[in-house]
Amino acid sequence: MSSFNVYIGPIHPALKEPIGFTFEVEGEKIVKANVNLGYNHRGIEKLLESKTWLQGAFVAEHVCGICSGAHHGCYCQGVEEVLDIEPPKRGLFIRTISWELERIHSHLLWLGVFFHESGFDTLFMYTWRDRERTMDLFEELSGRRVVYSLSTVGGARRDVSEAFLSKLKRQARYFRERADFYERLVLNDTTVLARFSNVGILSREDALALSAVGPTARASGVLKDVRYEEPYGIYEETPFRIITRREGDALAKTLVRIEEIKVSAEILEWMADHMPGGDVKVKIPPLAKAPPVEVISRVEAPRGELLYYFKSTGGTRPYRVKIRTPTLANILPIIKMIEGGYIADIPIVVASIDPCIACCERVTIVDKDKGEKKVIPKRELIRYSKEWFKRNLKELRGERL
Amino acid sequence: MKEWGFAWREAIRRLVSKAFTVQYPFVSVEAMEGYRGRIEYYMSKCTGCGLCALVCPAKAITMVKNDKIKPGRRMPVFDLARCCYCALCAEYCPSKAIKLTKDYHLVGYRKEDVKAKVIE
Repeated sequence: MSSFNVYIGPIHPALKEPIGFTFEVEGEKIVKANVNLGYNHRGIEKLLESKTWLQGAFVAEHVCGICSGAHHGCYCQGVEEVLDIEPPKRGLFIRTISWELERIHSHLLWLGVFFHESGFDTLFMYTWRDRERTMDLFEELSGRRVVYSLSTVGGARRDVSEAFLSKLKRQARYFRERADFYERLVLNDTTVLARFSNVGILSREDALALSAVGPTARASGVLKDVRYEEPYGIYEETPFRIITRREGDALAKTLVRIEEIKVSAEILEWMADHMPGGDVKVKIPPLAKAPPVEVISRVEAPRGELLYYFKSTGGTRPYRVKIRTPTLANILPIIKMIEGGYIADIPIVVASIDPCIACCERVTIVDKDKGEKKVIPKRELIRYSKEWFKRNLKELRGERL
Repeated sequence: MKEWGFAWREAIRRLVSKAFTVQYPFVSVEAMEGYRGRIEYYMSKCTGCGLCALVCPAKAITMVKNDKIKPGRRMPVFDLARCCYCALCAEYCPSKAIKLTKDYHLVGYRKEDVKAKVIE
């Protein structure tokens, strides 16, 4: 166990929390699973206490590289509540464009990673090529491809042109067509169906008891979406559908996310048509003073509910900021999803919650009969998973389909 | 049989279509209008008010004594290794002395390669 320090390393653009799993196995079947969190401390919440209300937004967006827009927007939304600022409507529209575009980008990225983990590399290339288009749109919209810095306390930082809106509409149509293509591909390919269906099932009761959020909960039939429960920004007037499925397996999670790409594209098309005029932001002084209040800001990030808590004691800096990312809520359901499954299903099940963690970096496997302990690194596990699936494809087709 | 037709059609289409990727070090893609890249600093416009150093979230700007324009005046110095390219300094600069350019080649072998472009 001297190589334990492999866990450290949040240098990736995504929020890489190192995590450890312990699985108790009987032969190939998993009997019990345990999750160990808390190997890494980034100190972002403490850092936010030393930044002014305005500067904090740019620290908050570095929490996650994939949902940086959601973190940035959630922070700005909370601070607007703290400072009692009413952002202009056009600013909110532009902010929401970044949120919905980000959902498409995040789901496409996840689809690619998920198919890559299961050995379907062609689709990985396909989805990442389409994701490149969202990145180009972000570059044009905000000036950067990954960390957008598009929102600010008091609205959005940049205005959009009519040319961009028509381009956005065209691209949204393209994303819808591509989502249709992926749906058809997933539902028609028997190999994909044999790999994903009836793997890592999370029942509705377990999803509710363990408070799963986002697409993980929605794939188990739980109607949970902050945009619908507590409409923020412009979601009160935006028409959109919430996608739920009853099965709760890896296939349902894939289909929910593919369908959500379509919904986000529809919202983008609606927003391009209904963009109001006027200013995009209210400029605040760099050292704005806040009254002593406590505020909670919630946003539906691509992975689920994102929560920011602010406490102000009256001053130019927050007294306390607490962040709860959606992955933290989705970690515990992994235990329920994985029990009774095979070792080779671990990468699929863990990837199916769209984890924002360097999960599976090391997996300990305890053989119950022999009392042996084995530590497997992630790469080894994925290789084993692919080989196992090739070996057992025939039986699995009979068992799962 | 249906899925085989679907797969073959897709495969042939991708075989004849152009590659989506760009051979980066040999072919360079130009950044879009409004890209936030290397900082350009116009020294003659700067009044030395220090607002950029105040708003910078990454503390990448320090005010250093510089006698070039006016003796005793403090001017900003940019540390691009700390910069997060949020462009708050350019947004809050009252005399528009800071601009973010389209230059995204921010990696170099020497320290001078990752410095802000100063225009006197």
